[in-house]
Amino acid sequence: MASPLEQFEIHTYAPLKLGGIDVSFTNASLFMLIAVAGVAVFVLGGTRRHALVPGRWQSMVELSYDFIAGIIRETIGTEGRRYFPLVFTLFMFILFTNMLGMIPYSFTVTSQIIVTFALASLVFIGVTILGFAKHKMHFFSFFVPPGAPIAMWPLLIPIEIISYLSRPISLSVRLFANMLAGHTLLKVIAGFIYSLSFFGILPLALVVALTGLEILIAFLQAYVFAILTCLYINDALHMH
Amino acid sequence: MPQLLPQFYSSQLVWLTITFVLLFVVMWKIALPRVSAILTTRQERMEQDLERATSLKSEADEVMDAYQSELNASRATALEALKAVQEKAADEAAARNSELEATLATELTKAEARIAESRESALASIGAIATELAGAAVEKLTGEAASAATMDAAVKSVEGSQA
Repeated sequence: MASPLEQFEIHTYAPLKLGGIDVSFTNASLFMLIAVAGVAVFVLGGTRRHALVPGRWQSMVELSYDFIAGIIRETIGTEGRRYFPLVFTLFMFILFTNMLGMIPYSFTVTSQIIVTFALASLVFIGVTILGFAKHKMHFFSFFVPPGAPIAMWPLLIPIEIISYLSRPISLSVRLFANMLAGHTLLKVIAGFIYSLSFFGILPLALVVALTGLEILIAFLQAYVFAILTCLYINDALHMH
Repeated sequence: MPQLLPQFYSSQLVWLTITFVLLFVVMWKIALPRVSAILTTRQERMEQDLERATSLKSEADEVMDAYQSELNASRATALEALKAVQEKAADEAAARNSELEATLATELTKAEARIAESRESALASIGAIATELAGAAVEKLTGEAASAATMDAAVKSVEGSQA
């Protein structure tokens, strides 16, 4: 029987090299393209009619727009509008790659640590640049908790710096681990269906239930990623 | 674990960059402005419609007010006209009544005069008849005719006692 981790293997479809770097077209690349195409078709297709009274499809697009706009309004405020395209793209990309991964025999792009780490790094580096651009050297005062006595600074500042630097790790590992654990668990339990023959009906029921849970998690992790991005942007703009 | 094989990192990073940047640009430049345009248009349209409804309502109220005042004015005019007509009719009726009364009064006096005349004449002729009748009675009773002068005097004395 195949290992539960086999689903995370990268298969190269077309080997490509560019300046000594491997840029082969793989199943990961394919599912990134499918996700991007899916998001584009969803949003552009839903708004193709510019209907004053939206149909079902356009309502879904407007709903996702309002959803992200609401998160930004609540966490950052009105000045967060500038970051709306980035947060929306992050949310939709992660949501679609997570959901695509729920289709049997598909590939989950977000179960690759390098992908989630790249996305988290994009947020981390972007937010750090934003903080320094907005507050110049004052941004370092972000690492000093407000109201803390000076005697505590030598202890608190390293903690704050470590917690700040661990943001990209927690952000990427949270998404990666959720996807990895969920898909591995599904695969392991699905393996029991075959080996238990008749009583395989029990793990089958469990797999059905867990699939529902995984769909919820797929959405939830996209939401968590988006809301944490907003919180980090808010920290950079307003500090504490 | 396949995720920890670094030989696949470069291709995933490159493809992630390509696809993510592509999606970001499409969302940023095309898709999201479209959605926001739809939402803004709807908001504006709703505000416009509400505004138009308010203005139409105030217009309708104005028309209603004008109609009411017009109606009140017409009603007042109508009442006035009616009163005038009634007064005129009453005047005319009174005039005709008095005229009729006057005519009736003259007719009455004329009739009274006629009655009095005929009564007078009847009374006058009674004397002559009485004299004649008395003469005839006296002749029958006495066998001789009484003189006319004596008869008149007798009749007149009777009339005088009766009157």
